[in-house]
Amino acid sequence: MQRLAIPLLALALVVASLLSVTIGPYTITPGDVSRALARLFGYGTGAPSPAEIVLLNVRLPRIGAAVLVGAALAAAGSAYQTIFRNPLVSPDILGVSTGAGLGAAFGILLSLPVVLIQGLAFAGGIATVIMVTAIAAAVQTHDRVLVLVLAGVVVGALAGAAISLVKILADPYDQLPAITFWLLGSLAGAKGIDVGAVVPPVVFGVALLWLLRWRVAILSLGDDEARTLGVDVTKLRATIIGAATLATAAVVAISGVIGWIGLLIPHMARMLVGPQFARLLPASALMGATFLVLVDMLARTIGRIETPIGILTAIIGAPVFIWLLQRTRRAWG
Amino acid sequence: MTMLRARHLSVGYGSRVVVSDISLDVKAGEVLCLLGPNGAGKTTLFRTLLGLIAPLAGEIDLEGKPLLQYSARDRAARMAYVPQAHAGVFAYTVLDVVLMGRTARLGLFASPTAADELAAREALASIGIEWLAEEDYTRISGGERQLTLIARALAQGTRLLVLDEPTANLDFGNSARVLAHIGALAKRGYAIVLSTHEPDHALSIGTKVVIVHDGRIEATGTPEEIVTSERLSSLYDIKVAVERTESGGKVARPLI
Repeated sequence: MQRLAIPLLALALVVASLLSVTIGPYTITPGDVSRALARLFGYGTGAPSPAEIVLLNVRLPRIGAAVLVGAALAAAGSAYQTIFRNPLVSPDILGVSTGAGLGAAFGILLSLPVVLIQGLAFAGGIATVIMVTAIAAAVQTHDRVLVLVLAGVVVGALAGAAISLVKILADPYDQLPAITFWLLGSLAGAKGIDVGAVVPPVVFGVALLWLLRWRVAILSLGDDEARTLGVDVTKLRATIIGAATLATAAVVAISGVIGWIGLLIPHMARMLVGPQFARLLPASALMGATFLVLVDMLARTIGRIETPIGILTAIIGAPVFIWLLQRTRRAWG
Repeated sequence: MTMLRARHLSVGYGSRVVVSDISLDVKAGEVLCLLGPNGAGKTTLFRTLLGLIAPLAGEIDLEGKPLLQYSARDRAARMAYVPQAHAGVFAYTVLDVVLMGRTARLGLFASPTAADELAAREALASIGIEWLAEEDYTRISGGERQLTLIARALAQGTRLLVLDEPTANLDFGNSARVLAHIGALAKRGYAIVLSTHEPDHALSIGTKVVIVHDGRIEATGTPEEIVTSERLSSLYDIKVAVERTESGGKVARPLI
């Protein structure tokens, strides 16, 4: 079962993506898909149909974004849960999402173009994590992990207060809804170019986690044990945090804040393939991608307007998480 | 061969000295017991000997070279640490936990190979728990966990083992079992350092005892010489009798 899990999860992602191509406010048939494919390879005749245009310019970028965002958030979550030795940790623990939220809110307040808002969000996420790690490094302590988490909570709260201030200053008819919508996450505006820009940092971050997969698991033993097993704990932890932050900040910049995926999906992956990071990382990434493809499909179909994804992941995530707590309590107790 | 030697060592955190003027050494085949009441500074001394914190003064040599000159990786190739049995956070299999002992032999981006798995299974077999290999580490008993951590140290392939209160939290039978394994490892040529607050452990498997008390080394010598009724009575502040048993060993008995 464990050996088959990863190929099966990959298959599930392919099926979910194919299903997702055809479902949405604008109906796209398998025929449209094959015609668009034929045109892509130079066999098309005549002008593209509206369905083909929707497929190439709207639907596919959106599905591509869902795959990237879901995979990156779940992969970062699985790394953070392992190195912080705590299954209740999510990629937001060091403030990356709140920092990105502040950057985006500020960009919206200044009425900047979308690409600059995304750039500010990315920079805000990275800067917040750098600040958190710098504060934690300056504190003399025996328990480095605890200080990191506490510094993350403090800086996150500060950034949250700054977001509230920006909201008060924002134009209530135009900017405030935009900020709120951003903070709840959505893939509605994802363009092909956004997806392309996010691929390099996500691939780089997740690939680095994959290369370090054996050592990531060693950090879950705690600092003293990891050191006596021959690991340079300080450098390794900084590298892992850097890789996970890079991937998370990049995807948050195009999707807004999407909660629950980085917390919930690594849990479910651990139930399926066990805690060994070499299996946990790919399983988390595949499940995160599949989950977000399906949730995004819901987001564009269940209401007359786009439903923010953060609302859907919370509605699905909270009860599932409570169920997981009941089931897995002993496995990490 | 002297595996680990400390000279005039002071240990502590920052400006706070916990234990000072410690001199000790351990050779292949020896079991050095650090004996002392709880809170005597054994743990701080241990973390210093393991290279986890720097000494405040004095020197530590590992295989003849200053400990602080080793990289984490080279140190781990020469000295293995056996922590107190803990439950762990994630449900790794026992085999996975033992495989983690091979980390110092792997490149930065490498994972264990079939040869590493063979070494891990041999380590499990050498202390008779190969049947636990596929079990979840979080679901086995405390005694089995301690044996697993000893197997992990053996898989690390060092000749020096450092054990922190290896029988803490274990019941009577498991304590005896773990001690018997440690004694057998010394006979196979391992150099062993272990901390304990049980005088009986020093009496049963120790070849050398260092008594830590009130921030200093109170005595160093063989168990026969220094684990005596008078010493234990003053160390623990209750009357203790060290008595010879019919089988020829010695036990410490509090007179209560």
